[in-house]
Amino acid sequence: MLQDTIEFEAEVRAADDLNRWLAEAVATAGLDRGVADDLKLCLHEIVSNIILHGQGSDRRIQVDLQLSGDTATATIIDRCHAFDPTARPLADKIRNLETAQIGGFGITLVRTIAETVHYTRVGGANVLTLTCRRR
Amino acid sequence: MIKVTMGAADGEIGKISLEGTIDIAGAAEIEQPFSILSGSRRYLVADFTGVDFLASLGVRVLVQSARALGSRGGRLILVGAADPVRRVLVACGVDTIVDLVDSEADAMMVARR
Repeated sequence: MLQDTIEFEAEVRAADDLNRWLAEAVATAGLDRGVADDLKLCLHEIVSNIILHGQGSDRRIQVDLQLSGDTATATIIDRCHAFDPTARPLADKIRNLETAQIGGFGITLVRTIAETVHYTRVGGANVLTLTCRRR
Repeated sequence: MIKVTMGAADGEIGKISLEGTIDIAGAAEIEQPFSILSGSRRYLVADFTGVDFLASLGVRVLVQSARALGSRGGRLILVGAADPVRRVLVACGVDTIVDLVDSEADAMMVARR
């Protein structure tokens, strides 16, 4: 089991740091390729959402990882205003050009791809824990 | 990090090639090139062979592009989308409004049929 933590400011340029850190952790843990792809997508969607929409004076984001073989668990902690992604309605899948909605797919992707997604508000922080497992 | 190369246009067909990661930073990088090409051509052939990651912010750019092209009777055609990218496209239903093909030759056939 590999455990690691990263903390960064909620800024667009943090995406590169997140990518590098994640790639190293995934390689060190020997995580299943498909699980690694799922984890990367879920992390980016949640972190991007905080970067773009999170409001609050404390703009730090913390990501805790637990990786082992074919299972990845990530906990994303931020201190922006309360936001529960699990309470949002899922976006409709695009069916044609006329009715295609342009955005809103990020959280839907996370809730579709991750095996479990759990949200709680603790001491002024949003704490989102998600698990990806080999399908 | 994403590298964007605008290809030489072929009549009504615009071309763009992408290499790298379409995350929050990559999506911001590709937004303007896609907007320009989608507003000036009828078809847009986007080479995704070198794209290793696509997040929903990139999906937003592609849907905007497909809608702009579609409003003039055109199409967005993606070439060589790898499995992780294709899975995101299919999960969002983008495959219903863009063409996913394996080669530029196939893309040109779609644009000229």
